[in-house]
Amino acid sequence: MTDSHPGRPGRWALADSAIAAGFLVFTLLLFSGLWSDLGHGYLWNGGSDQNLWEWFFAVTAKSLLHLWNPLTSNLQDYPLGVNMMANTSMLGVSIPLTPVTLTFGPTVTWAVVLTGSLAGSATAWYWVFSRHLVRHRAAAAIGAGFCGFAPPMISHANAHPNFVAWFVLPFIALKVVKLAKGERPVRDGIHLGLLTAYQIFLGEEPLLIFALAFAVFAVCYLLQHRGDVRAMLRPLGIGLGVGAALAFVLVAFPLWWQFFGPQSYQALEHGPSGNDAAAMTRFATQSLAGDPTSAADVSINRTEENAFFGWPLIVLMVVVTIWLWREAVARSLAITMFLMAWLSLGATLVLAHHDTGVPGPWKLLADLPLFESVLESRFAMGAVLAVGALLALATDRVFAAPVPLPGAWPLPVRLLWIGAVVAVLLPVAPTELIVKERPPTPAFLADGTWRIYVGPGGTVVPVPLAGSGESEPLHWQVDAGLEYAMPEGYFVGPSGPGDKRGRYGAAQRPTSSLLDVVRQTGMAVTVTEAQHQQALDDLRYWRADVLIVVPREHDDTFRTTVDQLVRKPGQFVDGVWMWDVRTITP
Amino acid sequence: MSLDLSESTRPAVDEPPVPAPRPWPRRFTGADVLVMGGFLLLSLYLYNGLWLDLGQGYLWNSAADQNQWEWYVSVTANSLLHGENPLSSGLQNAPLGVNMMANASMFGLAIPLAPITLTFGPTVTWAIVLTAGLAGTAAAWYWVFSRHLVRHRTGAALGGLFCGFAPPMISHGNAHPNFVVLFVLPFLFLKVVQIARGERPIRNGVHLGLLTAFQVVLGEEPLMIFALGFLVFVLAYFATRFREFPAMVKPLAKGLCVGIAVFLVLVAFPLWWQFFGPQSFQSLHHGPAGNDAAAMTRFATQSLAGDAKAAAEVSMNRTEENAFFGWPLIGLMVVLTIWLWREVVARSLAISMVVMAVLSLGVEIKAAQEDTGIPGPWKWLAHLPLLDSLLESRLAMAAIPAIGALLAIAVERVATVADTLPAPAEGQRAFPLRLLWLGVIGAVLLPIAPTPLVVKTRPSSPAFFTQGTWRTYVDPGGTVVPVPLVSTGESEPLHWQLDAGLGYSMPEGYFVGPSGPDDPRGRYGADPRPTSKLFEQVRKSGDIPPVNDTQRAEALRDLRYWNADVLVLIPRDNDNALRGTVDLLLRKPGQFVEGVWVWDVRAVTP
Repeated sequence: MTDSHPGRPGRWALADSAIAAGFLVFTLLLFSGLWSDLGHGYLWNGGSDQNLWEWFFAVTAKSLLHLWNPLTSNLQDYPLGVNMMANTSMLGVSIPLTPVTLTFGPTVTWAVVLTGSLAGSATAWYWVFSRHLVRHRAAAAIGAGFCGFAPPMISHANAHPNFVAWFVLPFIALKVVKLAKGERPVRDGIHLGLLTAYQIFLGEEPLLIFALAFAVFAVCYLLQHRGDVRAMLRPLGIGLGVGAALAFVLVAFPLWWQFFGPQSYQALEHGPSGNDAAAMTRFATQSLAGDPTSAADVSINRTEENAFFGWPLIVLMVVVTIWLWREAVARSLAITMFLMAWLSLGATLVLAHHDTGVPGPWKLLADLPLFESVLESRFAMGAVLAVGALLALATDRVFAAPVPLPGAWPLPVRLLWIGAVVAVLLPVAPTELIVKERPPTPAFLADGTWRIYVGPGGTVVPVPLAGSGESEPLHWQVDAGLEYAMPEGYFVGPSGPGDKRGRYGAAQRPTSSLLDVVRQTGMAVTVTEAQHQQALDDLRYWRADVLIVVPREHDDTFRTTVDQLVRKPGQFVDGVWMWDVRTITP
Repeated sequence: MSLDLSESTRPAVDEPPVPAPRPWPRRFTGADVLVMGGFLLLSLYLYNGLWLDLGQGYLWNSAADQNQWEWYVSVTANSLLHGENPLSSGLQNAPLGVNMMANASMFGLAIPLAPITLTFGPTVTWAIVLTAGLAGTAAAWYWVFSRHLVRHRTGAALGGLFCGFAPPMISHGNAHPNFVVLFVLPFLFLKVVQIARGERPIRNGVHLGLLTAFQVVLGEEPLMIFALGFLVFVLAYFATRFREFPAMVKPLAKGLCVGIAVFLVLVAFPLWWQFFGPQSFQSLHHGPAGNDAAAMTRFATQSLAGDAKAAAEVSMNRTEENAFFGWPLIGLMVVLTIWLWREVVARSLAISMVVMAVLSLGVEIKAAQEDTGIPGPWKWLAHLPLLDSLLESRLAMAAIPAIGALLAIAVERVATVADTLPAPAEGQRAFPLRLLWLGVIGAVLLPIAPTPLVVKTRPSSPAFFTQGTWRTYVDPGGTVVPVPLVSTGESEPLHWQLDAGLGYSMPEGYFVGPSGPDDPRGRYGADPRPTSKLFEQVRKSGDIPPVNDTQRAEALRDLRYWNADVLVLIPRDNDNALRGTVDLLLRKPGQFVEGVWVWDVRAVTP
């Protein structure tokens, strides 16, 4: 199915460089806001996530610099700490980019990772398509461009580098195919093991989605070539065995750490989160034809717009499917596209908020281990790849037609096809990602004033505490050189000491919950004696040395509340209100 | 001798021998019935809400316009029935009346359909005109395309479909039959071309005169807009084919003279009435009304991929979404233009399409509600007589036939190649050219496919009007004064008047007329009298104002001017405030009769 074909491009040539450079330049344009303001630029639609990722990058770099174990950190959720392997710390890029993080800061790493991932994914697909699927570079470039810059990719590019780093996956697929063809099973198996191990350090969830999509494709393909299966068994067995063994050696310990190490958890439950069927036909917030309200109407948030293919592309895919149905590869791709899209619709079909009650195939998978933690809407990203491959195949077949067509008069078939594909893709073309200026870190933390108030082993307690909706304290901590720890935080961890179910953020202490109430209502509470005592307990548990309130929304109410909780007035020092509590947390 | 449109001037490329062109389909066949029947079914589907509730259905997005247009057809039918002059009516704007010819009363259909209006009511006429307007426009373009432009019915059908159901057509389909009934125009332009080609100039000239006269009583504004588009097409054509022109001068002179003569005989008087008759006006000024450039690329409210909010942001209202072609179609049109640039007809169509779209951007170009500061070429034309009354955003409608024609040509070219492809070699499969091309065009057009028009139940007329109770309060020559008075935003009283059998007149109203006795500039509605303004202010604020003696005196003067016999207030928004105001003005309390508050004022307006 992926023969080296005499007509295919061979070695890397200038044209390939031009296409890869085109992808890179396009990505740089998309992220131009971030690149032109690396000091204060913040990807607005990412919500809390840029702060989180920068924290992962900075913490990993610091761990390496000090030769600490990068699989764990107690800078958040003090005194329990955070299991970095069970979070999306992307050690696969954060470790190699440590010098960049240490030299230029984590925002540069963030920009490099996002830019490199989008451009790299497109280029990787381009390579695999042009060398193993089609004969014409233009065909491969169109397909790969879609795989790299489809609306879901752009949506995740606001916040989730692990979901835009698809540059290893095409090669994993390629290695499996090579194994099946029996070429050098041991060598290919070693490669497969290495690549898979690396992908695990980039993102396990994309690997799962991709593996499922590839499995569907492979099953469809092999059903049509049953005779070939026998010959594939032996090389596949050898290669997969070698690969699995190698991958196991490489990742067994990190995976053990992830699932059984300190602060590990088993599964991250979430409610039904399938795509609304209307999300298939509408356009995304950051598509040329997109409208923010109509996209927001049928998606969880701006970083989970996982479908949004739009009517034109859907029709084109139906046409291409009909046309190429008799080709085994194309048919398998079309089935994969359809199944992955259907899977992403969740356990029941919801159409523009109306639950039709029609069950979907996700029902069968939703409770399986590993699958239970995946947001099912993300399976549409598997369909993205199939669409890209089909676009490549279709373009290739058009280019294979004789030029000119031997009809009545010369018909510029290539011009018409490329033009038509552009017309169809134009509405889903991405627009520049929105960057706004992030709030500055208060001088108290940035300039090191905090050191006067925090003893060794003591923590800084931001009010309110860091959480999934409140990630600014992570940024302050990074700017303060990651030298103090904080209780609670924004990460995924277990629900409690005896409860291994995953949750976002720490299991909150009562004082933290009380402060959340203040944040949500914007009103100060009258603190009872019991609450005061509880606050003292919590501060001791957290080893708090200092509490700080940054002048922001509701800062007065927070200040009044904390004044009552610790029974002393805050002082205004270097741009923050702070309460030195060392005397009460000995 | 060309202007193409029928000769087999396929691309003048030397290499492959051009095959004998297919014969033109001439007679009306089953395939034509199928295509036109399809248009009709689609149109019925779009208006299904109206057809299923002819009693109370109201095209919601038309705002005040369904009431207004039903009033026009009813009044016209009523005039005919009583042998009165249909060019004027005294039923609104008493005592001055309304110049029906200067309003969009569409005599061309209102008169022939008068029996239907009288038998089944104006809503049935409204539904017929709109449904037949969309389907008929599509069918007319299909006919002209299939007989004179392309030799493949599929192409012609697709082009006709676009001409009939493009987003601006659907938008106007909510409210403006004069912008929907465009089925005369393709034949009108065809006649001009045939005359230019020297085909029976006298006979075709007579036809041209008849068609133009008919179009004038259907809608003058569309005639002007589409004629402008046609003019650009012709200019673009002769820019490279000027050598063909001299031979065309003679037949054109002959045909046009005949045409103009016929035209004048038929419509000189109505046109004189329109511009110089009673209550005529000269031009209807409006502020800058160009399309926002973003309206070109977005999707319309009633398109499949449309989003109501995004469309509303860059259009005046739901009935003036005059562009909304969307990115995919724009992309396709660029490709077709590049591909067909060497063919003079296609090139001229493309130029006309672009010029009309650019003109529709207005005097200063806006993009997504931001002024770009770039002046639009409409600046040079905006002040010419006749053109000064146009809403320039509507000029984009003239791009529709150009797009339809380009689609037709594009489908025909590909289909012709597909017809002549040699059979594939043994073991190879044929290249499915037709499937791909139609599929791609389908993908491009699907997002702008129309959705059914929104229909809601209209409020019923109060029993006071429907049961004839009003007769006990109105003497011959006296008027009913709805509180507040009829205006652009308040057209319900027109509906009541129809339900009362058009038996009484009302002052002021919703129509276009002169600004004042000595001021021939056009305006919507009458120049409101002080009492009318006072009611309007109360309706908006919901507060009873302090009423002084001056206002009382004015009210008496106004009522006498209007020849008012009775004031009527319907229980609706702010009716308490309005009732209090009238009580204070007249110093007498209203009576509640048959669901309405009435003040009999015959005693004060002798």
